[in-house]
Amino acid sequence: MATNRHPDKKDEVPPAQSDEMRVTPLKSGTQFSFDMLAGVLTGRDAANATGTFHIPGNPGGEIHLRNGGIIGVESAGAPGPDALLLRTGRISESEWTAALTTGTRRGIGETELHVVAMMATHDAAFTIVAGEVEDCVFTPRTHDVAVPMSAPVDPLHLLRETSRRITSLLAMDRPLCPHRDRLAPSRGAQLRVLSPLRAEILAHATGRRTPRDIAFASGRSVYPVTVEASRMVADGLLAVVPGLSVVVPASRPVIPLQPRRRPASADDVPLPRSLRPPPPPEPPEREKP
Amino acid sequence: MNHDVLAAELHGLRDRVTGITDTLLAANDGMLILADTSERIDTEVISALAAADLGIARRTSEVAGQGAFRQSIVYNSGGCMAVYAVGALALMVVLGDEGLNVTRLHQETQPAIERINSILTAA
Repeated sequence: MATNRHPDKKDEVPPAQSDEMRVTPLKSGTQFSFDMLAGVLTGRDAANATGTFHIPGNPGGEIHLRNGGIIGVESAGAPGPDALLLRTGRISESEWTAALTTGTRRGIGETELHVVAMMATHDAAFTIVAGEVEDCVFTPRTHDVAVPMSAPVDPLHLLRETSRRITSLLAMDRPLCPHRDRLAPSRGAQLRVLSPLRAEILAHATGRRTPRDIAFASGRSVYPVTVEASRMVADGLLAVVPGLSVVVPASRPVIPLQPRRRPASADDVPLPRSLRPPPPPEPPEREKP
Repeated sequence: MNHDVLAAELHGLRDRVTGITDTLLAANDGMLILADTSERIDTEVISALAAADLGIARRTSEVAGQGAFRQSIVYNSGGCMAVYAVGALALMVVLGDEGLNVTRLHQETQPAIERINSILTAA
């Protein structure tokens, strides 16, 4: 299970070697996102409210309140309790399905579930603020939260914790944007001896994944992954991929919008006998006895 | 057909919608046009499956009498696969992880599909 590590002064990395690495400036918009979130959570709508704040944006999210307390925050930018528990193998698919449908919670206790829900809530609030917030709309209806926290969190506490995380990340040498900067291993990074977290981040950094994607893939929270990945960029273990790479399997010419042609090796997969084409007809000239 | 512009559309979509892991464009018959996918994805198989999915979904729309087909989505415990019709000739597949916000995906996809369709039909 992931732990949220506060970046201590003592294990801060030395200044990075200068290279023309492109790192999305995290500051742009972050202050605005935080102010907006702080505004709505301390505003009149939130006071003793029960309902949901919808925050469209990238990644955006939803904040669920009950009687003015936060019972859960969800965001596309952070793994929810289900992803944290399933991806780490903490509980099985069938146990989770049973938990959702019948409420029976085999294999996991109430306290552990609350802790995981709280981790997911703080992480989602962090990713909403680290991203772009377009708007904020309150609906007084309560929406279903898959795993609500058993004890609501004070909005001020959540804001304080979110502010601490954003500030810690921005204080780093190379702060990464959790949902924008795509990471690839630097040359020779695999040869170094790394801590389990670093090795896992390195293994999941394919050049297409952001810290947020790596967190989903490994079942960890986004904040610790972003912090550690930022350190790894500063250490020269990871590099931010400039722009998006990809595209077509270039080995084969792509022929678009034309009828499918039967490939030469169409018999690779044998069809059931009933579906096989009939054998070629006998030559008609052949005399039958 | 301008592959660079198409690739830019796919990249832009993946950048704007958090949670998209892979995208690809294919003709209605399952022939791959362009893929923005990781190595673990078999693009040919996904294209073929999406074409079959689209065919069944279109027919279902007709039989159910519920108007024009829009999209088909398969939800899984670890993510989802959305298949969108691009005009009458092509399709777009979007694969996402379990965090993907499908409402936002639909919002962002519609204008992109219109642009992709105009590129494909202009070729």
